Amino acid sequence: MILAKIALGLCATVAVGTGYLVQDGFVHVGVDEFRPGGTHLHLIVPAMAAPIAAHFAPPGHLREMQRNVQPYLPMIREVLKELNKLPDTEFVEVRSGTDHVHVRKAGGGIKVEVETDEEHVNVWVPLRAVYDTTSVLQSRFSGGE
Amino acid sequence: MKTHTRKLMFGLVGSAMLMAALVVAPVRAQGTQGSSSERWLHVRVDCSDAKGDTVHVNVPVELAIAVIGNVNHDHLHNGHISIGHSDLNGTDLHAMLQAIRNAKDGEFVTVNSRDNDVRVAKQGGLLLVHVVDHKERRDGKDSNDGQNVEVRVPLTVVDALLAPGNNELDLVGAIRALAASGATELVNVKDRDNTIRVWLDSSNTGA
Repeated sequence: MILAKIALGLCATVAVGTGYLVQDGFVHVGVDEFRPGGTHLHLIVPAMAAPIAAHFAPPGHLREMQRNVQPYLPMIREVLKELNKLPDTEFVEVRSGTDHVHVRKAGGGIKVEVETDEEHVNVWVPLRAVYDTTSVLQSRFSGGE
Repeated sequence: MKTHTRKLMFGLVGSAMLMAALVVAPVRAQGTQGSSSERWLHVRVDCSDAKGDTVHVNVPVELAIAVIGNVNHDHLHNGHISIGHSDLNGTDLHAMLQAIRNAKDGEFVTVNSRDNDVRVAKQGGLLLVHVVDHKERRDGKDSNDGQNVEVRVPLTVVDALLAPGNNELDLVGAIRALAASGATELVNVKDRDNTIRVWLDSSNTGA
């Protein structure tokens, strides 16, 4: 009986934890270098790591961010709001020989893909995670926590 | 812990994770619905050289307004550009644009030279600029190597640009006026190797 209660508690914790973890989606980063010994990196990181990192950023880094980022926060937030309203779309496509660059909105995030003969790089960042991060930064810049 | 108990716990934990993901997914998907009535600014650059370079840019007008309207840097503040006579070497841009706006339809500037043909006209609510660069004449060739540039600006855009007064230009207002004008083709540049096109429409792909 006690085992069942522990199992139930564990399940509830995992369910809540997983829900919390995936609410912002995941940041995808992929790097493949086509040379001997080249990097092959594929990361899937919970996007909510970004606002958490912003929340716990040390004061020194925060002051630097405040100087560099704060003037652009209102613009970034407005852009994110507008992006959120848009359907999935390709914003930029550049082709030069075998080199391709794509910047698009896909699945509630911004996807950047760079493909050359030497390497493939792709990054997908959920918009909501960026918005949440800007909220945390704005709060910390104004002295709140 | 017994094997069947461990399996049961793994199953329960797995199910809980799956359910949490399924519950969250539709909530997140709601945020990605778009509006179809928006105007989009498109830029296409196509090069006909061996590499066949192409650049395609699609920007919703509202997004451009969100960016420009929130930049506060140098001469640009809240979508307005502050200008002074010193910036334009004493040229009174406002007076010049007012004069164009108030003038009747017609051709204002016509230059035909060995190197270039330039035409500036006002016609049907549009300011038209047409420049033909005769590079082939300079190079002493017969083939048409020159560049052909066509620019079409709705005069409502000029009105919106001038709206704030003497020392400012309303860039955001001008973009809104451009979107509302129903204009399509804005810029066309063609030469032997490149084609550049800037236009507005309601499609997010520009196709």
